[in-house]
Amino acid sequence: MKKRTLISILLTAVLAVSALAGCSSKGGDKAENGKNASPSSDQTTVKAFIMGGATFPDGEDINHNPWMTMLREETGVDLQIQYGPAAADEYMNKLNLMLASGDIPDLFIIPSANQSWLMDNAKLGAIMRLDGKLDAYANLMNAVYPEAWDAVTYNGGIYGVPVLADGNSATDNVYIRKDWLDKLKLDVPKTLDEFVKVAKAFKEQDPDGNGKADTLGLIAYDNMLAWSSLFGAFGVIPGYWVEKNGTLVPADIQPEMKDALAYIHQLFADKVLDNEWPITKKAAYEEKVANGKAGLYEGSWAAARSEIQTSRQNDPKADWIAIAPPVGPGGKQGVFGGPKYKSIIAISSKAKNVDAILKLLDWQAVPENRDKFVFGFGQYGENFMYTKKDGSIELNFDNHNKYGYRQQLMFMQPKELNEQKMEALGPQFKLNDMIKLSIQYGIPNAFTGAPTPSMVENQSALDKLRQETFTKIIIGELPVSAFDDFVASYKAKGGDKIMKEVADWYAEKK
Amino acid sequence: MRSAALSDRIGHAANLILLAMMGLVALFPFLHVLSQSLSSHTAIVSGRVTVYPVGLQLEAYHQLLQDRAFYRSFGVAIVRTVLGTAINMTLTCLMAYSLSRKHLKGRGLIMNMVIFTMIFNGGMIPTFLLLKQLHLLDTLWSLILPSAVSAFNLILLKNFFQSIPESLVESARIDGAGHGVILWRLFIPLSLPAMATLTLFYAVMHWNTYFDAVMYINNPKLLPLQVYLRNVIVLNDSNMNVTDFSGATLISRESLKAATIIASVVPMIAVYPFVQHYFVKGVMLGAVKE
Amino acid sequence: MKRGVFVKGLEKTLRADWMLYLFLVPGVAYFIIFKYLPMYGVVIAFQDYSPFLGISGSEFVGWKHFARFFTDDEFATVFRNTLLISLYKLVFGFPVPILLALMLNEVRIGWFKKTTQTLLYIPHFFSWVIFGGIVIQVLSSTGIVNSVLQLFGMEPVLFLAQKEYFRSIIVISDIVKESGWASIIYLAAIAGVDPALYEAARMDGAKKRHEIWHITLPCISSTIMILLILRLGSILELGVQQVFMLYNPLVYEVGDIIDTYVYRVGLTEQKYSFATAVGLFQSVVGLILIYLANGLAKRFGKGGLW
Repeated sequence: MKKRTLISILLTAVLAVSALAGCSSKGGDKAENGKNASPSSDQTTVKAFIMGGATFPDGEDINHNPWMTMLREETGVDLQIQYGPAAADEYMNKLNLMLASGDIPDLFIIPSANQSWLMDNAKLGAIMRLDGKLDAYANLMNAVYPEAWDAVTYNGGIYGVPVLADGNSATDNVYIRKDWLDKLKLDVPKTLDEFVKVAKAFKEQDPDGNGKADTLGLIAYDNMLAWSSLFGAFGVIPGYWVEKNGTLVPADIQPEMKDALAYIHQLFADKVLDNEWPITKKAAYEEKVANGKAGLYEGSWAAARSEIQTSRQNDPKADWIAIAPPVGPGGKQGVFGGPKYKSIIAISSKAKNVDAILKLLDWQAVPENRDKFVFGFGQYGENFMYTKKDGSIELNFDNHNKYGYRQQLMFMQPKELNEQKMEALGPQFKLNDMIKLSIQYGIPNAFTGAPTPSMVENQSALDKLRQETFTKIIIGELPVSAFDDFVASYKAKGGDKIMKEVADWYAEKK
Repeated sequence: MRSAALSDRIGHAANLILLAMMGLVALFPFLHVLSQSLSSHTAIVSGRVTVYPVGLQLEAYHQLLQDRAFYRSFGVAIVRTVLGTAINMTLTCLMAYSLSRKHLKGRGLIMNMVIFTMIFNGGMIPTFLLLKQLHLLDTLWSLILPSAVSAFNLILLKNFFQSIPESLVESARIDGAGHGVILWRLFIPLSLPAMATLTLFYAVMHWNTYFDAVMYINNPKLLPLQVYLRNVIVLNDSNMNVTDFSGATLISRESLKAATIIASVVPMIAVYPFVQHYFVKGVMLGAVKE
Repeated sequence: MKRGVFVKGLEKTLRADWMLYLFLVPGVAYFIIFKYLPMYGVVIAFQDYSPFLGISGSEFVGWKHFARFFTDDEFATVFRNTLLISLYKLVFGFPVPILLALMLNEVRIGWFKKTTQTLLYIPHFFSWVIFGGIVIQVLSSTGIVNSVLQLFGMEPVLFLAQKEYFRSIIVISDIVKESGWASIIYLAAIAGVDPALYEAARMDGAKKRHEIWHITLPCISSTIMILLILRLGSILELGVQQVFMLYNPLVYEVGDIIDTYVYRVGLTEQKYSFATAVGLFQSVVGLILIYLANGLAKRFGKGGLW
């Protein structure tokens, strides 16, 4: 008797749990389409999975808004977006989950940092091979720099479409305070020695005139690329590859790097270089500029809109100008050059509608169409998103931010710099000049390919070794001669294998 | 007698002073973030904000509070937390009670099984696939069921239940009380501090967890508060380049970050007094013997 | 014969305790469905797993990832650092919440007690991104600590760049951040102590410290024991966030831990397999310790987890 009751109760419990499991709950907007991406059957439907997080005005979302409507009309493609997480690593995690469960979207956009993920999956057959299919799409081809294709090439096949940043390949510039130069009666420095003299003067001669020894010389922070101009003066950028004797070698182990380190170490020892740099993070670095403690530093091409602007707000006399990076003893100069792409569009190998996708991308690669997103269109254009004043365009920032999501609908970025947009963000920032200057002096990474197998295996250990060694040499914990041991370790820990693979890659390219 | 009172008083005073100092140290980060949320962008990035606002502005909160998505995600978080905690506490109490009965056959086996799961788990992908098979993805249940019982909390509660004198249980059984009544009328009232604590633990877990929501939920209307707040921060952070919208947003980016943190922490602070209420000492061992 | 007796015994057990077993059903069902069913994922540690190929499609590689981990040049360093930091946190950090709870318990002023309790547990809610940022500021050359040092005429010290200080910074900042929250469970345990015991002791002339030593502590000792044992279960799992925020190349030797190492290496291919393998190692060590500690606790009559 009791046993039967027990069993029936157990059964009911199990049923209850599964019933609970079956019902979904509040807010499940099941009427909405495109939420769970799976390969589309309709020839003109494209399901995309992109990074999200933007806010929307009432009643709108990523699939229902003026720009999406316009895009669908003009391309004839029914784009359905699954809005993903805003953070890159969460996005990648979710993408992996989708792969694992077989629910792969037609199109997704990989940040450049995850390039090796793309190539791994290309090798496994998850990504569609695109060479041969792209030639028909002139605008698309036009929007990609030739060397950028290297990054998505494997065994002769092309597995993605590299997308530019809208600052093109601009990275950093060297900035200096002209008002401090004038106060101390110094000229704009051109050579490395002149730079150091100026930095020293900034530190010691009280350029802000407040009687306190609170100004700094050269500043830096824990990311070595961020003060690449000092390395560029020797022609070597940490972590990059450089051409020598007809092949590519790692800049990290070149004798020029040893010279650079010796020089920088001296700067540190002479207290010209901020001794706090190894524990300074980016925000603290920019803070020193913003609060008027530093007068010479390397910042992003958009710095005029951030820390430099804050510096001006704090001190209206602050007159920052961008200058060419210092010329080193060997006549070299430069900052780290940016890659010719910031993200990669990838198409699933299971996608059935590649033509629709490419047509969409091609349409987006046309500068006029891009401007429909940046500057709006029709009623959302003039006098809404921007106003024309004396021939120049001024963005209406309220609407620009309120409808900021529209920029996420732009998957492509034409090669032509959107000078109008840069102007519109604020002519006083002179962003177009900043971009051009940065590109002019950018030293690109000569290795533009996808990470080689040995790189995947060993690069993180080598990077750590480099960071540790270089930091210690600069602050003097290790002697400069330790560089030679570093070179030996680097080669032994996989550096040799990597060098061979890169050399092979380079030979094949030529 | 006198000296005892004096040394006691010194002891008390020292205690208070020490605690006050520690309290202030703990308060500092909160004040710092709160001040940032109310300060101007310029002051924040110039490093001028310490424990009070500089360049007072309410823009950050204004921006948060005027976004419908903020309220919606707040509501989702509340539903998740309340529903989730209710399920957590129910299951945990039931299990802890049974497992605290020393004579129960199979007790050791089940305990081993529970502890084993504290150490070994299949990971994100198998759990995701399971939820997919059960059709729980994109529902609130995907946030509640996978964490229905915390082994840690279960062990704690079982331990508390075990410390209730057997004699009480005996007399209740003699009076004819079934297990349900014993649990409800005896154990739970006697363990109020533990119950309150575990409720707090579960509630905080639900309130603060965002990773599961990010992975299991696609519907933007179903995203809980933490995800919304994180998106606000991350999006604004990654938008340092002109690639996007941060024109005027730049003005309040840092204070917006701070405001989101305050927005998520304040409810937790507000909840604590209710928990403390139950930390009444030596709850009525005698009183329950009715 | 035996089987008959067994079945009879089972029946008898079920009849008497059927309600108890009923209570267990939902919870056990939960563990089976949501914890044990997905457990097959552990096999990822023994494969070159790729989400695209899935578990069935990924190649089985046996102990490859474990071998890679154990033979890595960095293994000795990260293992040692993890163990040391964990032990320091245990020895110095574990007692603090208990002390806090005892101290708070003695406060007679209602509002002070409630306010301090609330204040102390706030830092727990900040992520290490925020809290770490504050620690960095406080210890920077223009931060509070160095300002005080300069008042006394001393040179500013870059604490976070010094190997001698790094582990202490990790331990201390963690104590500041988490002790308040961790003391809650002890407060709950203390609240469960029968006041009659205190009265009896006071009548016998016991002083405050006797009360604490002979009554409070013994009464909460089982809670302490359980928390200690559970803590040992995660001895090699420090979590990546704190160290990642606070470390830099100058302190890698003393500060690089298993979790930061896995994070760095795992940023490439096979991140899942490698991370799962190392995680498995961390878990197994933890499990062994739990069993050992539990056994010891029982031997000394302190009860145990089960």
